[in-house]
Amino acid sequence: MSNVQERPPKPLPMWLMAAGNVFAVGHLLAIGLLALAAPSGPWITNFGPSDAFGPQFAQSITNNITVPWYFQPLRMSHNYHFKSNHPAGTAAYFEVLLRDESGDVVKTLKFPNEKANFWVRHRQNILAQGLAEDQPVQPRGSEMIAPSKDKTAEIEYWDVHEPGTLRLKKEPKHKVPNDRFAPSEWSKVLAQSYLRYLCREHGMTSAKLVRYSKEAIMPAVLFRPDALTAEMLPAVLKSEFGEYRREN
Amino acid sequence: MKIDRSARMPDSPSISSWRGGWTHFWFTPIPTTGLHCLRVLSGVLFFTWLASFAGHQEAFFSLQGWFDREAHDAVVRGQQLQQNIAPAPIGWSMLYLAERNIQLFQAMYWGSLVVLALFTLGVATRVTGILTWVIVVSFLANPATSYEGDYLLGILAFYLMIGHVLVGQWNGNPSIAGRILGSWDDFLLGHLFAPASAKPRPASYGANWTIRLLQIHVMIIIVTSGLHKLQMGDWWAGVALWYPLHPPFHTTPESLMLEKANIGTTLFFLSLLQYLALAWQISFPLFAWRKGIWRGVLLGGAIAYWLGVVFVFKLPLFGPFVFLGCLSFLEPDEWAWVGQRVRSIVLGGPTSSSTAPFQQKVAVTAIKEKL
Repeated sequence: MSNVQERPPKPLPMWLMAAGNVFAVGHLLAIGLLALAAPSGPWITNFGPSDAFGPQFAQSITNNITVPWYFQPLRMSHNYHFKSNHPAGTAAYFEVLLRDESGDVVKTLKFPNEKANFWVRHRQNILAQGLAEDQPVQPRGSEMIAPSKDKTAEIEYWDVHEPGTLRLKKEPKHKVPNDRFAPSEWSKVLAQSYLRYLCREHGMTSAKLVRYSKEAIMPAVLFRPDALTAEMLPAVLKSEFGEYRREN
Repeated sequence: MKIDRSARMPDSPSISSWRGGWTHFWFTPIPTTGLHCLRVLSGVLFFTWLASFAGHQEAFFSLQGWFDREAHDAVVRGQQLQQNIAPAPIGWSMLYLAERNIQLFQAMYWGSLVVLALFTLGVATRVTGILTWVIVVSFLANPATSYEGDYLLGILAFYLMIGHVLVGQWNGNPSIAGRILGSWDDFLLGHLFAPASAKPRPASYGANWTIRLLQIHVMIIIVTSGLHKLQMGDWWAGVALWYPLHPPFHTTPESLMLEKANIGTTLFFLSLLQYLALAWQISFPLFAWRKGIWRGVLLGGAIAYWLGVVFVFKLPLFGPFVFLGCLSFLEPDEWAWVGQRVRSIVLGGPTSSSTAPFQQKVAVTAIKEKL
């Protein structure tokens, strides 16, 4: 066996062992605190389901010191609370309608593309999931102050255009009905960026993104005494992200 | 066959004391076989991961692709205002140097594949180890396609980089070229296939220290992920495996009706499997460092996890990472056994003959140290 030493190793000097100890303890402690500082939940509270913050000592050290100065440069800032641990997520795919100068739909692309290989389809699926992350609009109070002229006070949310179809609508905050959802900022940035890319790639003038999403099917449906029908399963929800027009 | 690790620490305190146990754990020099095997297997994983994007690399990673310059600037502006728009913060990446220069971007992509191949093969591992880490984390930069499994590759690359930079620096008396570039003995597991009379490689403090860091990091990841699952009702109810097996767009009332008659049995086995997986994750620290039958629990569990993650959850990278992480717990004598088995399979011939010189050398070393 060539991998065995013939002579005893030189002992390590104290300073080197101390440095090794300090790095190992500091590094692993920081990783432990990073995992501990992550929000947990959602838990049931008096105000409905809500996430709980991590303990303050872990948050303070992680958010102020270790993440910005150590983990982010090393690209190790994940807290190991994986999204894929949530089993009952919303499934989504999307279609992009590409139009030429005359406004005719020239191509319709579907993502994830079932003809793509496993690895590419997986990345397309990540993009689709990124577009499916809706957030509830902050509920307004019972009493609203008169509308301001400030346009930034407008909110873009999903408006029910017809049953099963949502469209983005922008309105002043006080006019947004309660219990509405809105695409996350990230979804909007992602959608616009992806439409720009497709217009560039295919030399098209405009593109429209439509998302199709469906909630997870609960196993409880199989315990119903009657026969299952399509109506008993979650319906497909169509959400139109609007159109991107290329500027020349 | 067992290596007496404590016998190689001339000045080490007794391992029965707290301080001795700590020093023994972190600062026992070990053969480098484990680190190099991890490098080869991780290198194959890195190369496969990056090569899988070939043909789509521009769309996935360039600032002309899915996530373009405009989107990048929007996210960075948000970060400056303490608003994290993207699911992952945007950091540095060598790919940003290419900006809108597609030729330079393509050169970076294909050059990266060459570097990953060289690192896997063991060429100039100190330099290619650092470059491999730079490459892996650079290709994590695009948040549009960023996937949690990618971050795990960055962790593997980080420890392999540290390990290969440290190995042989203190105890190996390398030449200047060897100190900068790394040992030629790393080349394609050359030490495994070298004749028994070849000059042995010195044991390494750096290899042990790095592998210990990797082991504990892997343990934190596995246990944290297990505890995170316990925050969800579906995992407590034992139905977490139900959902990926019934994707909403592919499940029909007809397919569900076929399952209806046996739903009790299906959920019984799904929940049992899921609880076994959870138990493996959460109790990981209790068996990961144990030998004997516990090695079967460690590696068998890792293989089962890999299969489950690929075939049930349709997720790449988690499985190989966990498997490689579990392999890092193997002790030097176990790696030696694996090396001999591989050698006997690849080169043929009985394993016992190749075992003898190894055992003799271990015995000689132990006697010398006692004297």
